[in-house]
Amino acid sequence: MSRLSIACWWFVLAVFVAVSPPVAGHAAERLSFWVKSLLVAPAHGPSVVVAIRNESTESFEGQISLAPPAGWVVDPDRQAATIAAGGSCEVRFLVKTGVNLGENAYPMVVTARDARGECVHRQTISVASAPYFKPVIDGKFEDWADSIPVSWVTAGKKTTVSTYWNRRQFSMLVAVEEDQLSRPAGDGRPCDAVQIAIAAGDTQTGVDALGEATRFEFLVAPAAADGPGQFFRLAEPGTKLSETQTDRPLKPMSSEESQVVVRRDAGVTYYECSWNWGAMREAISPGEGREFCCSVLVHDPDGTGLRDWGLGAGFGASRRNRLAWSRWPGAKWPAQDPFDNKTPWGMCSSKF
Amino acid sequence: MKSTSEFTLSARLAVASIAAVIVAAGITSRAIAAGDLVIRTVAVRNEDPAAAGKEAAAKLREAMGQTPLKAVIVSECFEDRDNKAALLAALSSSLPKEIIFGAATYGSFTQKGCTDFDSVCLMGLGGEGISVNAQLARELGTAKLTVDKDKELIAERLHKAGASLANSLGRTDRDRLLLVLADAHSPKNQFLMEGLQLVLGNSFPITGGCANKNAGQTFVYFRGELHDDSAVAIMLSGDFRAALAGRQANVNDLVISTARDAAKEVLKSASGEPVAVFAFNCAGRRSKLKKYEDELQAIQDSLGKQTELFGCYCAGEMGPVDDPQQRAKALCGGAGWHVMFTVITKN
Repeated sequence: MSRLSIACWWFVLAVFVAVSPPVAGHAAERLSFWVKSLLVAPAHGPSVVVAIRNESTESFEGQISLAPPAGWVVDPDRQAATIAAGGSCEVRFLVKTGVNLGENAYPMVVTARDARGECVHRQTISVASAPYFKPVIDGKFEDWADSIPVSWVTAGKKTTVSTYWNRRQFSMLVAVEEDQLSRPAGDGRPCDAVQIAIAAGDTQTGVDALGEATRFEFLVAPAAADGPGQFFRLAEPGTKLSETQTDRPLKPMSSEESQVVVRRDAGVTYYECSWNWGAMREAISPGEGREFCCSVLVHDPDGTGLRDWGLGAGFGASRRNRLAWSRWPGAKWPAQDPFDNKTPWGMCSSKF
Repeated sequence: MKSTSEFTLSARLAVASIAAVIVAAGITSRAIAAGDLVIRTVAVRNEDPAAAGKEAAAKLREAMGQTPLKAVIVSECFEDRDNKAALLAALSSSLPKEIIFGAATYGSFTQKGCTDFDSVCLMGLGGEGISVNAQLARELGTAKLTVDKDKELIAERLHKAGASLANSLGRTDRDRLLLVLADAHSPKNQFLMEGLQLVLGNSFPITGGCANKNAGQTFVYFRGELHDDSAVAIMLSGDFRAALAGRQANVNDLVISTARDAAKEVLKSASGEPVAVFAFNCAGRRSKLKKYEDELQAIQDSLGKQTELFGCYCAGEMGPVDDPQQRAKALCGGAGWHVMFTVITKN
């Protein structure tokens, strides 16, 4: 094989690896698995939580084991589980020894064994957590060096989300690799934006449009022309889900209690924003160790389409839910529903 | 991790003599044999740090009665330097500034309950039966280093700092307990402990906690002033005893049961009448609780509700490390996810 051929094969392999989403929920027909994001860094003793659903008509009675990344020790490394037909459970493995990796990607292998055989699930997970910090929202981004970025790839383009918390505000930096930034034209034509959902950890998204939202939902968009950016409050707990599924005018939902800078640099669009806890504080009390839900949709209508953190967090197809995200004028929705917005996130102490 | 026992005596002396940190002069007061020992705790929650400081100081004075204070230990959870400075100024306006020591924490607990943001907890120590010698090590040089990348440098610097700090304390045959409050969060605190133990030895009782590690909050307090990248050591000496116990956990039920067990163990191992209990607890443990009060209730199940209790939530704890996988080489070490109890008893 020529050097050129070998190079081509490596290129193909590299592209395949880069665009492959985390495997989730497809390891076997009988069981579906979801390994949740870690909520503190591995060195600080998180738990690896594996959600398992028995998709079959027979109960599962066997052992669940976890093979963590090299150098880690989890306790226990296997445990008994019984899952009724159609039922689900969560199994926790305490990380006794964990090693932080700069790329924030930790491969996990879950194996379920019972008398009927073995199911193996492989998933790479991340630490999804907001360290304590007070960033200045100025489009310079140096303040984000001590965050814990999560990233995923959609159609070959990378999205990176970093978060911080402090007592007054929640802050987010979303870095979107894309060919160009489409600013809102004001006439409903598709434009770029970032949609953010935050909810208390014990909430669920409804499946009936007659129900009510359980999340606080925001939209960060570039300014129509010059200007730092725009911030809108799309929903809050109690908003009718049916209402979220209409293209409501954005202007009345504009929020002043925020700072936004949308800036483009070297093929990347950066959405840097902070907003006050405000009413969110009643649902999520900011503090170290707090566990809540946070997810992000990136709208790139003239490029990669919709980029969904639900994919990066390892959601399977069964976790798609149209009601999890508000419609808005300027959004271009693909045929497939977005994933649920209830992906786990944490708040932790600062890096040092 | 290099343990204390791996150091030779000459290495101890060498490390101690080349310490690069600045150690400020502390204070010393003398204890009288069989003298009285008065320890009281108060906690105040108020969004205004100055008001909180004044109220806490007044309450502590009242609680101490006629007994002059020899030291005030502060655990506070106000956000940012300005608020912390306002609190210290208020405390210093009502209490002798030179005896105020402490650290920024994630909150506190006493027999009366748990606090987090916008709160201060004070422990007052007084009486003729106790003496206090406090020292400060500044410019540890480790605040912006991580163990992932700079383990050896951290170890070197904190060994030096710990040894210098311990050397500066001087020793008496009535030394009973060293309190350490440091901007050296877990796992850095183990290295500081190893440095202290180079001088104090492996069997000397040491307890304490690491300051809040959040950006802009990492202060320790010495003589009523704020210092970051620093450590305070407070030697308590006198006619009393100290017994210690530590347990680690990081899931709700185990946090509660380990607190109950450790509190029970520390009382069991103590001889004499309990006067007060220090509980340096991990903020991470607290974050695993469904209700903060559940752990306090478990502690009270073992300690009762009468003994003075000074508890604070830290970013690392010093005391007897609970590691079933590894036999401890010293009585005390630095760790995370622990609750470290120390009970002070009198005959």
